[in-house]
Amino acid sequence: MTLLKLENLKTQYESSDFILEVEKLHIEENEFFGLIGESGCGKTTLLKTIGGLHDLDEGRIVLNEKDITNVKAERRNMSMVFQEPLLFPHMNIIDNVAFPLKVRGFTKAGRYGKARAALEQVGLAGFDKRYPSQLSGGQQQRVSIARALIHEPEIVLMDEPFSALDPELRDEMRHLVKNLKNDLNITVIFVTHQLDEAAILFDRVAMISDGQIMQIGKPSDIYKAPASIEVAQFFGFKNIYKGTSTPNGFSIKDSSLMLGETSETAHCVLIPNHALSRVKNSEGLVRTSGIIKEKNFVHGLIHFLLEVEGTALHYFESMGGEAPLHIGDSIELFIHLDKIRFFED
Amino acid sequence: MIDKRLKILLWIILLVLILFWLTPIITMIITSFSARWAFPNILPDGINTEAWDYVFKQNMDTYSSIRITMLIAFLTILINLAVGFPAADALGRYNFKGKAVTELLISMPIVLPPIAIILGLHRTFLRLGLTESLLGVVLANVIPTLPYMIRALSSGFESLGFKWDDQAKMLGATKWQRIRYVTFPALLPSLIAGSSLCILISASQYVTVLLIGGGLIKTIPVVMFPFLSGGNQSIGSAYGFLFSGMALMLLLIMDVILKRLYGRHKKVK
Amino acid sequence: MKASQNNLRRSKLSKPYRLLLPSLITLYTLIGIGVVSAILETLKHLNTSMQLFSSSDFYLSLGLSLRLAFTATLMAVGLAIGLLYLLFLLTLTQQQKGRTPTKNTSTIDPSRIFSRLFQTPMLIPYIVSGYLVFLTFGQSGLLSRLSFALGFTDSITAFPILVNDPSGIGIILAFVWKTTPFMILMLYPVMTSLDSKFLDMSRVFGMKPTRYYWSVLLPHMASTIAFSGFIVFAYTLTSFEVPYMLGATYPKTLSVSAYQLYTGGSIDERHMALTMSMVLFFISLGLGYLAFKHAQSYQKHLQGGRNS
Repeated sequence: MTLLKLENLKTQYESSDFILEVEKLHIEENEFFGLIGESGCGKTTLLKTIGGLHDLDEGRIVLNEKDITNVKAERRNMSMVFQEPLLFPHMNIIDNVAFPLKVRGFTKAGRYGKARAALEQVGLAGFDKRYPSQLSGGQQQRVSIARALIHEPEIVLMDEPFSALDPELRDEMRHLVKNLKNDLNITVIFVTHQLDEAAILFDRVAMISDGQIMQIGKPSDIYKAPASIEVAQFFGFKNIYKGTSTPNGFSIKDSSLMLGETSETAHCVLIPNHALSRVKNSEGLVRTSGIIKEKNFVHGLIHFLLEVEGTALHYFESMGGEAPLHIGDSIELFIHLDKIRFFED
Repeated sequence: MIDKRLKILLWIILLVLILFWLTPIITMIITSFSARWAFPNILPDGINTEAWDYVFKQNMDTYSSIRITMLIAFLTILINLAVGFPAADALGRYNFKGKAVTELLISMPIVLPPIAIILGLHRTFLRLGLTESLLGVVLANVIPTLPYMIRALSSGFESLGFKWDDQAKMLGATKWQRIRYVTFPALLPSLIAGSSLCILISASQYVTVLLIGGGLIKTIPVVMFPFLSGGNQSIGSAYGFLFSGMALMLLLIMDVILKRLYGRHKKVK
Repeated sequence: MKASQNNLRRSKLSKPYRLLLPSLITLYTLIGIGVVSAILETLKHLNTSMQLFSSSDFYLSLGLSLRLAFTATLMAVGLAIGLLYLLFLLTLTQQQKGRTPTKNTSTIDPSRIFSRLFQTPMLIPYIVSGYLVFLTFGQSGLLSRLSFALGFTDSITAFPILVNDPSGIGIILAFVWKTTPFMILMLYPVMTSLDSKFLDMSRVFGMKPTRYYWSVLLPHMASTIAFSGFIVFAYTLTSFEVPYMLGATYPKTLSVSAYQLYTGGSIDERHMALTMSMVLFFISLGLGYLAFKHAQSYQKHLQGGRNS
């Protein structure tokens, strides 16, 4: 069921000319939805607009069939976790966690009970009486998460909550949030500029660039079919080439590589890694060969930078293959034409 | 590069200058404890608490003047807080057209001498029936003190920024809840600093209270002044010492409170 | 939909102005009452008021106030610059021993002693500081006794009259006593805000510390000196309490004269007093404007810290 609808949204940042435009964005209940993009693309602005911290110039926001466009942030029954934990320094941990219940009029016993349960869920049982300054950054952020969940909000907004933490910690936190979401059946909208978080966390993701949504979909779908070169680049694809469509096929600029037939309007081609193989295992392949110029290891894979027919090509292979390859060697590659993608820009 | 001789010379010069500033104070303290201090003597004849006796036991005005001074200061601070809190918010956290001019306007009273305003103010207050009243004196005290309160608070607001407010909003706190649980506690140190300054300035006002209060409102300076401009030197010194002592105590108390407040926030892990 | 959103925008934009309104109204109503009353009275009785500007007393008072203010301000500024120079040299000696001034806890740390020291005069109100001058520099005061003991003078009256005299030396001393610490407390943070890297760099180039003080630190502090200097000047020019206590009966400074005309004089004289208060107001306004022109750089020095 669609929980949140944004329609014809337009908002401008006060201090600059930057405009954010969202024609249509629907977020489902119990969805872990991601907003990704480069810094300054507008994802945080969008998040804040959903939360009510930033005003719209045009458009509307509908939550559970109710128009909340003009509803104040504190009444939207959402919550938000920021990059900084922002735990109130003059309150101890349990008072911090219980704060959303306190402002909603819960009794002390009532809210302390729930707060203790929330602390246990984030693995900080017993931390009640401590003060924020006594906790590490990761612990503080966990308290902040507990605090954001305690009043069972409709949507939990998260603005790059882990980017200030150490990498190992980040992983732990991602799993924590993912488990919480599943256990508690909450809807989360999560902003990040780091790609690896997308893969682990998101059910669906929207990629934003320059105030516009470039593509919405499941991460795997976007990987298989990025809608534009920009999306492809953000998602880490490397083999992106300009070229022109000729009667003989698509010709890559400054290269003799020729790739199958395509429409005349195609100006760019993306060759994802899964379109490359070293064995000929089907028909309709283009055969080519390249010389290894560089070789290194990335994320458990071997990364080759090849020179193929006058242009550079990146090729990734898992380790433990046959005879090891060295710089200067020549390897034969097959390109699966059905797996490459053409773009207009 | 700086050799030892020069260093000693420096310390000596500094010492002399320190004397210039400390000696008068010490003289006053000593004088307050003397009854007869005949001319050529460098030191008084002996410790004598006659002056203090007078100040505290004989002059009924002393206690009431301390009370009135504190009351006026307190009321002034209340008004300053009520109008100054939002103003400090605006100056500390917002950017808007005319901000520089506004800051100038708010700071202007710092350079305005009481005399320039009090005479005209007195005329109007006379007609409004505000002379010889506590309210009139308090209102007149707001002029020199409000800018300082606003400055102190606005630097607090500047450090605060909006992020805490945003966080509290997203957790469901209404405007007054946010002020009570987030903004106010965070601003407490600035508030204390600003209030101390207000107390100091308010308590030091002389011609303002004299004129607007019409001699009926007797704050410490009003009671003190006759003894300072002639009259018994011991008593004058006693009052001077009393007043300065109270100011010093205020500073120390503020120091202690601030340390306790800050200490809690910045405990090392 | 759009209208309400526009309203939201508009109310958001006007928020800071709405926040400022109570203070501005309070402050400027009160000030306004004071100033407008004076202006109105002056205009209503223009003849008598204008007599003020043809009375020699007025110009004598003006001259006295100006002279006292100039002298006191120059002395305070000079003393402050000199004392800061000494402090600067002292911090150098500390540095040479390998200690940084701010982290010094066990040994005598000049910066901590002196900040405490100079805060003390700030606590003492001007009336009391005037009294202190009387006690110390008066004919029956401490210095007089000392000079007698040392043989410089042979009686009470032989000691020069420094207080309640037409030259106003006592007044100047009282001003300097209070305003010099004020200036030092204003300037010291600005002086230390300049990173010591610059000093080290200058030493590498063979610059003596004295030269460094005059050609690097002082210009760095220049706008703050101007700012606080104007404030001191404005204060000393228009001060009431100190000249009232320590001044001679004649001539009087502007503020004292205005007060006495208002409280003791005839109706005509009261109008002139109100005119004088107007004059004082506009003079202060002008000085205030001059002071705050330099205020922005002062703020920047404090916030920017290292590089400004």
